[in-house]
Amino acid sequence: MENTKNFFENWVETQKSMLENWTEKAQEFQKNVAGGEILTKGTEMYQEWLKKQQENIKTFTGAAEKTGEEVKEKVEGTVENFFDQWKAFQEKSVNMWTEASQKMTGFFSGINSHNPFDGMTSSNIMMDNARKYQETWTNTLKSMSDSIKTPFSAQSADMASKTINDTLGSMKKGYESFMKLYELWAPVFKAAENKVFNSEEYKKMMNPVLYKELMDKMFGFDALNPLKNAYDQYTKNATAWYEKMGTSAKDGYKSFKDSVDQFAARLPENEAFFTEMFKNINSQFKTSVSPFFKLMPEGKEKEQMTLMNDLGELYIASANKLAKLQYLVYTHGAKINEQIIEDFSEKAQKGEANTDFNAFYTNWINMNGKAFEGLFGTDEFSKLQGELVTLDSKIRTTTDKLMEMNLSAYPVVLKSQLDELYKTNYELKKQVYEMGKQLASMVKDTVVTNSKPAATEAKAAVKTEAKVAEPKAAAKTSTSKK
Amino acid sequence: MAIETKNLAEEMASVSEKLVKGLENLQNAGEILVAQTPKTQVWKRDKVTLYHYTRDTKPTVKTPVLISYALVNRQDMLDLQPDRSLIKNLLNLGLDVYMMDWGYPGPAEKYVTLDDYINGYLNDAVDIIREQQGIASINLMGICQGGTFSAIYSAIYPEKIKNLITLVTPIDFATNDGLLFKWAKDMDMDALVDGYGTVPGEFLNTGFALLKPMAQASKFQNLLNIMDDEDKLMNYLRMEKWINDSPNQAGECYRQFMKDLYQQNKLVKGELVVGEHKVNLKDITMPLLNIYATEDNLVPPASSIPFNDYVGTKDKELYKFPGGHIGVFVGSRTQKELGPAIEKWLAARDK
Repeated sequence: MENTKNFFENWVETQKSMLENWTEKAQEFQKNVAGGEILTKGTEMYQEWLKKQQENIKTFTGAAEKTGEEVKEKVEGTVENFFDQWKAFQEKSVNMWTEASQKMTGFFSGINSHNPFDGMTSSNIMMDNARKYQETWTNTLKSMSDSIKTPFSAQSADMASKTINDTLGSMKKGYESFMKLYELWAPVFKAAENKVFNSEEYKKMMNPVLYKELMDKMFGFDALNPLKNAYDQYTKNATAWYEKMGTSAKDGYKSFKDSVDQFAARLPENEAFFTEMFKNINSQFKTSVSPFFKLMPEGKEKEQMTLMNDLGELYIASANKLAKLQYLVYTHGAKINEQIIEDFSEKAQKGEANTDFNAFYTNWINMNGKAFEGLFGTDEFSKLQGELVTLDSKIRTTTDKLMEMNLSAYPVVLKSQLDELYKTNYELKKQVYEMGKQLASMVKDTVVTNSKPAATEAKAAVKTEAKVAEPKAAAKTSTSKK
Repeated sequence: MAIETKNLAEEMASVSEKLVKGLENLQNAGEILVAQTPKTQVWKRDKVTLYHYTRDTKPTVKTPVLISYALVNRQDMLDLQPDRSLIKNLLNLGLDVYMMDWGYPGPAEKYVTLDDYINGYLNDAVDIIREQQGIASINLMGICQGGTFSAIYSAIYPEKIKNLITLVTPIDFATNDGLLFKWAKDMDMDALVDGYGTVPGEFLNTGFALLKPMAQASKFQNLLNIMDDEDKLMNYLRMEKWINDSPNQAGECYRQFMKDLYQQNKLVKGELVVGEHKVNLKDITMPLLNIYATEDNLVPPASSIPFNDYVGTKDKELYKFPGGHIGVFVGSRTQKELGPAIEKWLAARDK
C-alpha cells in the first residue's frame, strides 16, 4: 500500500515536472514568436525540452525502483518476529483493557453511581459526556487495532499462497469490522452495565465518524473506490497546472480547490448538498479553464487539455454518484442501527440483552444483511450503481487516451496499438481455423470417396447421371479432383 | 442476565487469542489442492482445453458426458475435494466424463465472441469426443452459464446431443428475482466492455459479494471458530481458493451475453443469433433434465424453471434441489442425491 502510494506520488511529481518543463518552454516559444526567432530557436528548444522530459522520466522510474527495494527490505526480517509481536500485542492488549476499564469505571463512579444522565438538563452537557465516553474507548481500541495491524502485515508478506494471503486479508477486514462495531457500541454496553436504559441516550453515544468507518469497512468503500484516489491525483495535477498559469488562473483554481476541500470535509452530509456542490465545482472548473483553452493554439496540447477537462468532469460526476451511493448506504444503515439500539435498550432493561458480543454481532449481521439486501434490490440503488459503472468505464477510456497522448513521443507500444495487434491476430487465427476445418472436411470426404468399392461407385455414378447431380456430390467430386 | 463489560473485554481478548492460534494453523496450512481427480488432456485450442477423466473400469453408461461449466469462476467447484466431488461421484457411478476448461482469457482474448465459444470451441470439443468414441451423439451437461451455452448449442446442433442436462442454468432473463438480473439491466454494457476490453474477474466478484452484503462479516466469525481444526480450515481454504479464482471475461462474448440475454432476453424470444445460427429452443428435441436450486440467489429458480416450457422435446424433467447455487455441488446431500439422480436419468436413456 505504502509502495503504491509512493509510486503515485512519484508519478505526480514527474507529471508536475513535465508540466513545468512544458510551461517553461511554451513561454520561451511565445517570446521567440514575438521576437521573430522561431525558425532558428525552434529545433534547439525542442531538443532541450525532450532532454528534460527524458530526465524526468528517468528520475521517476529510478524512484519507482527504489520504492520497490524499500518494500523488499521492509518485508525481510519482519516475518520471523511475527509471534514475538503477537506475544507483545497480547500483553499490551490486556494492559489496555484493564486501563480502559478503570477509566470507564472512574467516569461512572465520578457521578456517584446514579444515572449519569440524571440532572443533565442541557443537551450539550449530555452530548459532551457522551463524547468523552466515546473518546476514551475510541483511543483505547484504536491503539489495539493499530497493534494488531502490524503482525497482520508482516504475516501477509510471508504467505506464499495467494489463497492464504487472501484469507488473511479477509480476516483482517473481518477483525477490523468486528472491533469497529465493538468500538461503536462499547459506551452503550458500559452505560447498560451502569443501569442506563434509554435508547435516545444510546443513540447520542454512537459516534457518526466511527459508524461511517464501520460501513466503509463492511462494504469496502475504501477498496472499491479507486476513483477517489484518481480524483485526488487529478486534483494534484490540476494544482500543478494552475499554479503555472499565473494569477488569474490561481484565483480560479482557488475557488475550485476550496470546493474540493469542502467536499472532502463534508462527506457525507446530504444528497441535496452534494448535487449543489458538484454543480459548483463543475462550473468553477469550467470558468477557470475556458479562458486558457481559448488562448491555446489548435493542436496536440489543446487536445490533451480538452481530454483532461473531460476527465475532470467525469471524475466529478463519478464522485457525485459515489457520494450519493455512500449516502444511501450510510443513511440506510443508520436506520437499522437505530432499530438495533431500540431493541437492545428494551432487552437490556429487562435483562434479556445478549451478554456476549459474539451473539450481539450475529444478530447485528442478520439484521443488517436483510436490510441491505432490501436496499440493493431497489431501483434507486440499481440505477445509481449502473451509472457509477458507466462513469468508471468512461474514465478508463478517457484515461487511456490521455495516457497515449502523453506517451506518444516515447518509443513504447501503446495500448491502442496492442489492441490492433490483438484484433489482427484474432482475425488471422479465425481464418486459419476456418481453413483448417475446410481442409479437414475435404480430406475426410476424399478418404470416404476413395474407400468406396468400385461397384458402389459405379452404381452411384449411374444414379447420379440418371438423376441430377446433387450439390453435395458435386462438391465432393470437385474436392477429390483438387 | 446483566451486561458486564469486563466479560465483554475478556471475550475480545479471547478473540485475539483464537486469531493467534488460527494464524499459526494458517501458516502451516501448506498447499491448497483442488481438482485432484485424475484426468488427461485430449484437445486444446487457444486457451481452451478438453479433459477426459481417467476410469479404471468400463463405464456402465456408454454414452460419454461432456460437462460445460460457466466462464465465470472455474469448474474446480465440481471437484473441490475428494469427499465432496461431483466428478468423482459420477465416475464411481459408472459415467464416462469429459470436461471443458475455458481457461483464463487475457487482453488478447477481448475479441473472442459468443460465436467462437459455441460454434467454435464447444462444437470442436463435441466433435472430438464423437470421433474419439466413434458415436454420433454425446450427453451434454451444462452448469450455470455453461448450461445456457449447452442449451444454445443443443438447439443449433440437436443431432450431436443425445441427452441434455442443465444445472442452475439461467434461460429466462426477464425475471428480477435475482439482484444480478436487476443490476445488469441498469448497466451500459458497451461502455463497460469498451472501458475494460477484457472484463476482470474481480469486477464480477465485487457484484457477487454485494449479493450477500454481510457475508464477509459472518465469514470472519465462522473462520474464527474453525481455525483450530485443520480439516475444517482446509475445507474453508479450498472454497476460498475457488471463490478467488475468477477468470476474466472475453469482452465481445461478455457484451453479447449481457446485452442479448440479460438485457433483451432474446433466447426465450427466439431472437438470439449466434454466428450464422438463429437459436430456436424448440429445436431442443433430445431428452432434457433441468436441475435448479430452490435457494439460488445467483440464478433464481424463476430463470431456470421456464426452460422446460420452451423446448421441443416431450421427454423433459424438472428436478428441484434444496439449497443454494454453490450448495448444489458441495453439500453433503449432493453426494448422496444429485450424482445418483443424474446417473439414473442418463442410464434410462442410454440405448
